Amino acid sequence: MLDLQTHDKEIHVAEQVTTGRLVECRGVSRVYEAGGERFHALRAVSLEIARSECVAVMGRSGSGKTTLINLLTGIDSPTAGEILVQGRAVHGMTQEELAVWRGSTVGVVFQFFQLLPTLSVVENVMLPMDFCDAFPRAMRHGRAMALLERLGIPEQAHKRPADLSGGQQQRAAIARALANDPPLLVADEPTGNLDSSTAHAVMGLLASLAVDGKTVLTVTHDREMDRYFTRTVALQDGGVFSDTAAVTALAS
Amino acid sequence: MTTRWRKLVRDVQDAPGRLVMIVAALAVSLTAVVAMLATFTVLRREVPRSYLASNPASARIGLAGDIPDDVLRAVRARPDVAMADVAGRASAQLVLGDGETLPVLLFVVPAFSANRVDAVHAESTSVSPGDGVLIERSALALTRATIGDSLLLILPTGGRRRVRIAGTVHDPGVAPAWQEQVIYAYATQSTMQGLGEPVALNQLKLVARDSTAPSALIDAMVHDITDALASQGHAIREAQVPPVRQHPHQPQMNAIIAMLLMFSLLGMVLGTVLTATVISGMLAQQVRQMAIMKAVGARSTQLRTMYLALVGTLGVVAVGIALPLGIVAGRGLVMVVAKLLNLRIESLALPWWVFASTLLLGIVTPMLATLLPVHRATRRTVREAIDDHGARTTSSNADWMSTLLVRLHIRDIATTLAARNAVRRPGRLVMTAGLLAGAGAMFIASFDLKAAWEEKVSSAARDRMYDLEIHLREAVADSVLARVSASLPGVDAIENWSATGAVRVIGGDTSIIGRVHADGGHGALTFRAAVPVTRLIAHRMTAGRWLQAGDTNAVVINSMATELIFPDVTVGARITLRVNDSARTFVVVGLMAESLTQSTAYVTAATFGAHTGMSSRTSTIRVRLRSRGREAVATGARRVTQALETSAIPVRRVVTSTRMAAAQGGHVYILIAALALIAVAMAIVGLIGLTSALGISVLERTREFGVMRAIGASRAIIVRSVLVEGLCIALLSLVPALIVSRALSRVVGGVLASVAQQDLVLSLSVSGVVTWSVTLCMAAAAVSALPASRAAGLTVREAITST
Ligand SMILES: Nc1ncnc2c1ncn2[C@@H]1O[C@H](COP(=O)(O)OP(=O)(O)O)[C@@H](O)[C@H]1O
Ligand SMILES: [Mg+2]
Repeated sequence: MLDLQTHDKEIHVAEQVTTGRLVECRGVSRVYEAGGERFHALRAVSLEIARSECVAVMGRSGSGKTTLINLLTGIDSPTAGEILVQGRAVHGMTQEELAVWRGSTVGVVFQFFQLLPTLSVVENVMLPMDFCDAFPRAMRHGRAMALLERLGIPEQAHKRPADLSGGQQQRAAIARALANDPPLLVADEPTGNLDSSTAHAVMGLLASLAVDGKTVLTVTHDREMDRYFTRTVALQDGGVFSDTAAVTALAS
Repeated sequence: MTTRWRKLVRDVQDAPGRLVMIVAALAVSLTAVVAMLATFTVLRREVPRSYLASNPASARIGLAGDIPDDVLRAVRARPDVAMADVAGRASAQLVLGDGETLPVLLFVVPAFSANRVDAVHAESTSVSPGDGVLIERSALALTRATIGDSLLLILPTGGRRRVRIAGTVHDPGVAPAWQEQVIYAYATQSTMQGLGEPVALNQLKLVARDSTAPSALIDAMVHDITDALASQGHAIREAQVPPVRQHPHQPQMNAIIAMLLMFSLLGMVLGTVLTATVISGMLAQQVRQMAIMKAVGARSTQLRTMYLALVGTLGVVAVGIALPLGIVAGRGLVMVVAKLLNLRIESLALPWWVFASTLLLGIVTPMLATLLPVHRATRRTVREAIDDHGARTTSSNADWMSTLLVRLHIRDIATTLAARNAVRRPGRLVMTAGLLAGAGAMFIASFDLKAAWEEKVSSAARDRMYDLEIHLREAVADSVLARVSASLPGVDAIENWSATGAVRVIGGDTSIIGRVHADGGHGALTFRAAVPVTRLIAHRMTAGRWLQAGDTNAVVINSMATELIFPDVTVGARITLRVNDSARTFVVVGLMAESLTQSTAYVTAATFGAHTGMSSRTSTIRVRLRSRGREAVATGARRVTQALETSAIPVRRVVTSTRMAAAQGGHVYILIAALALIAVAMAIVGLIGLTSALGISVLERTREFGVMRAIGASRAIIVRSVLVEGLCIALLSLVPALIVSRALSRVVGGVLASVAQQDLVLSLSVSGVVTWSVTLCMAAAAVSALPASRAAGLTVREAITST
């Protein structure tokens, strides 16, 4: 487990109001049309996520987890319903507004890491800062190095993603998601491609970010990961099947 | 450098291959465009420049004898005359080493230094030939001699004299000698006197003060001068007002220039398409990365700027390569055309706008080509891009392909998959197949033209059923000739085809003005006696009828005469010709198709005799030999000449069918070869497009290949799948290639017809289609090999986890 507190001053985790809703879904549906047939991937899902929660989204394959996550990050848009993040209506934004909003508000972690192959690890982390002009140019490299250090892979900083192990790549991807210091971090099966011990390390890392004030939303279908979350939302056939707060979340 | 720019630079460094291909594609098409533009601009500037620099005569007035000094002075003193000179013209013959003769056209002036009108340009020496002659540069090769050698000439009065070649000149006013098979020689009167053969300086050449005045004004001035001369008792033999300020080859030049413009345009269109193809290929590779960048906060404008900058840079590099290459190629092309039409190019400099438009074309076009795919890629939602598993929905156009394959009894899954894949992205298919179709169309068209031209040459040879045309020194009585010809060795048939020059008289029979150029050839008309029931030419009539024995004032005009001199004339029309100093009116009874033969008006021998004072006499005979091979004709020519001369019938000149074929022959092939060369360049462009399209396809199908490998497909199946895809695209390009080739061969055929002043019968060349199809399929297989082996080399794991 990393000790995040010691890095606070350097990393500048934005002051968060630890109460109130960060994410709010109201009757969100997503219908796919393929080959003339309509398929309800999400049916009228309503969900509220408070700041600093560490939420697991669980469910069988095909239950709509990825669909939900993509709607929250604005990667996909709902057929019906509203999605509010920090009070802003995500579903109403244009692609251009979404890009800017995403850059500042949400960090995305993908299952297959999706680091840019021709950039070094530290450059991958610097990229969001570059696009969003988030930090003064001179500070970006230092900040990226600090993030990598915090995620335990400072010595990999100048390697290409292809030279890293899966776990290292996913840490780099998390560092990139944190680059612009967004309040919300969203990960779709971030451990799906990792071996069990690496998976635990990565999940622990995400959980500790929540402790630090980030709101974390992670898709997983690994029951063993339960202990990292403050809350578990289970989906089934596109609907919320159960929504339970953890009895003892490890991070708290 | 900020991180995003570093990413671009890194992309370039990591996979330079595709970018090299983009630069190559751009550079190839730009080179072609630059070459065309360079040729176009240089020719359009240099041809009039070198022609006008020679002060081409606005009018030439021929008197019966030497032009007296006071006449020259009086004409020079006229306010509407800028300059005037006298000159003479005579025909001689050059005797070549093997005894064969070539006609020589001698241009004689008092002194070259003083001659300003129709001036020639000294190529090798100063224009002071001393006791020698100057030879037109295009004629030097025909003489088989070089500067300093002496030529054996048979002079106008029959004497044989050796004359030194003092140097060469360029005469912008004559056609290339090898094209006409005539030697142009230039001599001073003192040289001719030295040879004992003074030539009448009976031509008055003048340049109007207002050299741009329309023909009608010049005609009026000429009438004014000739009236004055006539009133002083001078006999006027002819007056020529050639087309104002127009090079004799201007119509051909215009045709070539039009063709070049068309090719430039075509090159631009195809270059743009190719650029769009290869760039969209590169961008296809970047779609996922663009999505990731968008997911981490990149705005579309930022992505657009990145890729536009990248492509713009590639454009700059391509321009850097294409400009010098295109200029070199353009100069080469200019030189080919210059040789073809005997033009002198003084400066190859290009105007600024050629550079500017190349820069614009090389940079802006690819950027425009980038805009749409980048726009599409950035507009695609992040989810679509990241979820893209390669297997996109197959559209209905894939279904007809599989139906077709089933019909063709190809039930192999890998092949079906490949064929479907070829039509999976219709936009890309259209671009790639379009490029190949463009190349194919050019290629097939060049074959069509070659076939049409060859047909022209062989039809000319077929129509010409004689082997020798013998010009006699003096007209011989028909009775004498008939007696002698019976004893000529190896002769199968002999007919009277006497000829003399004629001029079309425009605007009533009192006028004496013609439109003949300075070389006496362009715009000139041959007036020829014809045999009504001839065994020696095949007369194919396009309108009306051939001559009949009883015809008196009937005339038949051939193709070139119809085209160049009598474009307004139809059967039944009356035309006035000036023959032997007097104008006569004839009725056109027929128009005749005659390939590759100079403008000719045919009348019966009786009519010819009546108008030329050669009744029952013959000056030119045509002979068919019993054995007709090349060697036999050469021997026959010698033996017949000898036999005639021993019978006291001196021969001025013998033209063999071999030489006629040479005169009619090959130079147009240069144009056809240029066309084929362009076709090859286009094929390269098309194949670059195909390689790029297949590369993208393999990239997109990586996962599919992984799955195929995982379920047991061998390397061979993967390789075949890619090869079949390449072949499908190539095959699909054939139909549009055929269709476009029809239009192209018609347009270029029109140009060629105008250059050669011949009508061409164009038809689809089967050998062109076959050659192109086979070449294309082989090339498609070859360029598919690389992406195919790349696809086959993928491991299952790489393929399935590819990003
Ligand atoms: N683009 C799409 N078109 C059609 N159906 C889709 C698409 N994306 C997902 N689905 C379907 O929607 C359902 C939910 O998908 P997803 O959210 O990816 O599930 P999960 O992530 O829980 O496995 C699945 O049945 C899936 O097949
Ligand atoms: Mg999923």
